[in-house]
Amino acid sequence: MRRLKIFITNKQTIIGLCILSVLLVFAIFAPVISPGDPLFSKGAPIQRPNKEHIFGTDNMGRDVWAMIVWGSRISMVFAFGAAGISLIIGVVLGALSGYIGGVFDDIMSRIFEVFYIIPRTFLIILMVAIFGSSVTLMVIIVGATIWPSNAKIMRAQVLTLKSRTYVQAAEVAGGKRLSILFRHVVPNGIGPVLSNSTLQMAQAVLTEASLSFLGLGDPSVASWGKILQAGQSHISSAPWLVIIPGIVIALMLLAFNLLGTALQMTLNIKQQLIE
Amino acid sequence: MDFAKYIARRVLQMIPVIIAVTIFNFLIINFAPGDPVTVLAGENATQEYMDELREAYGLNEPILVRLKLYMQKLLKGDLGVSYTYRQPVANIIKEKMKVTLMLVLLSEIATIVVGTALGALAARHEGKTLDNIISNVSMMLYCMPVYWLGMLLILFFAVKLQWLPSSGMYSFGSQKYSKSVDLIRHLILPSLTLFLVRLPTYIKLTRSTVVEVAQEDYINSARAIGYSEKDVYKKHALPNALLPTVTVAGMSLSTVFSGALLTETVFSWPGMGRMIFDGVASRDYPIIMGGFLVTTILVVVGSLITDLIYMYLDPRVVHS
Repeated sequence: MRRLKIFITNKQTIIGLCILSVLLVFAIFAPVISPGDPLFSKGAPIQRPNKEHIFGTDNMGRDVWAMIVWGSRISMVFAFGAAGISLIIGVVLGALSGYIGGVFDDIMSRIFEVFYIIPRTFLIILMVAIFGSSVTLMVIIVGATIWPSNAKIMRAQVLTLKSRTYVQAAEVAGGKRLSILFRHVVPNGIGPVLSNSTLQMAQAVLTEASLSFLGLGDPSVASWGKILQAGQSHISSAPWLVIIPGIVIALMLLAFNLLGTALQMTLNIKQQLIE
Repeated sequence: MDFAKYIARRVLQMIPVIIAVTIFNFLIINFAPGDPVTVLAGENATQEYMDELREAYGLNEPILVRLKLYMQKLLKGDLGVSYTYRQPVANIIKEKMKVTLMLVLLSEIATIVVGTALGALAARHEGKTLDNIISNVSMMLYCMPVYWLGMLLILFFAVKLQWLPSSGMYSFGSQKYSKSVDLIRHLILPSLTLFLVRLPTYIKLTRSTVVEVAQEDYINSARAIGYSEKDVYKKHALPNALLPTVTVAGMSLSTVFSGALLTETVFSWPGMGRMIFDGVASRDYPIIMGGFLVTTILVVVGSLITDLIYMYLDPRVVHS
């Protein structure tokens, strides 16, 4: 409880949660806030921000405000989807590797290393180019490439926890090894993995925006990176196409980074309390 | 264990990683749907021409035979011939590598120096105004996508003030500047972008390690001996806090290259990042595989050099 209070009353947590709540409202209530298809032309192209289009229109006459509102959906899907997949893969593989040890651990550690070393951005671009750019597929691809840092952290946590008395007690009491690992060891060591996951949510959002910016995004959905892509070719005539979506992306990254940092700090405090 | 043995072991460890990555690249690309021959031949090609091309580029052979051929050629330093450039991949990469390094190297070194200095400065003034300013600005930069920052710089320095060119390596036609001055003018904005984007990494890292180190007993002893606060930080805290920075700098090679891809896109800089990206778009397999391989080797060698520097700075590493 004390930890929760420290986390909740942190200034960083409050700012992060405020930004995220606004964006979550956008994502959930997009059809109410901005009815109609955001990819449909709603007037003359390249209109400056005005009363009718508060963020202006892009080169195809699409309303930038509508694309911002709907774009929060795909960003949220990436944040939770890709970071979630990465969390599951990372926790399972890292925990097994640390708990079983021996040759298995050696092989797994090597695999983590190879995945860590492969130039990740290029790998993601390649896989998206090869296998297609539907949202589901891209979320899976991103999640399946960013998990090694989670696995490394989980493995280190399990290594320190598995010699604790309560784990040994559970083993002596005849518990099944797998159930001891996932019921007792993992829940106690998952904190740092969760704070890393929060930072990975920022990474996932950034990856989606970058892919869309490069023209590899899902063509059937509105995305912030797509507005930036249009902005790049109209930078001198329509600067709002560059400035507005960039601010929104930066705010979302800020929110996840603040929460991740706050979580890290809280966990350190927790460790200090124990010690 | 002595240094020579340690180095030999690390080098041996590198080889399987590189082989694994090579095979991985090869398989992914070869199991992909989409036929490179259609790219090569163009839209209105006849079946015969396409068959001829398939034969010429060895695309007819079974995959294992192709993998074997590819590995054999690799050992001779032959990366194959690009489908789109119709030139040996090794030559193209050599050329593009120079162009990317021009952009990346200087800005990364500047980032390391400035970022470390600012991080140490913030740590020394922990919790005070200066620390708040540095940390907040650094957090803001950290949250900016690299291409957005690049476009903002273009908007301000190229579109509004018209001081600098917005893209490319050289200006066409205009003879206003000599060739090297022209190149430098084109380099400023993309380098500045990479510099600013990488800055927070080093500021955050140095700040947190210096703050940690500053609580150690030997720092207090230095204070007790009577060193000035500035010397305590400069001569004792900072050198001991540099180890993580060395690691990050060594591991940063791959990040720098992927950051360079987006920066190269915004500024139309014809480097490695763009080359791989265009290669993916046109399914130019030899370019993609060559680009991946070279980047991977750079990363692996980077981590080896990191280890060696680490060993030099902290001999305990070898013995553990």
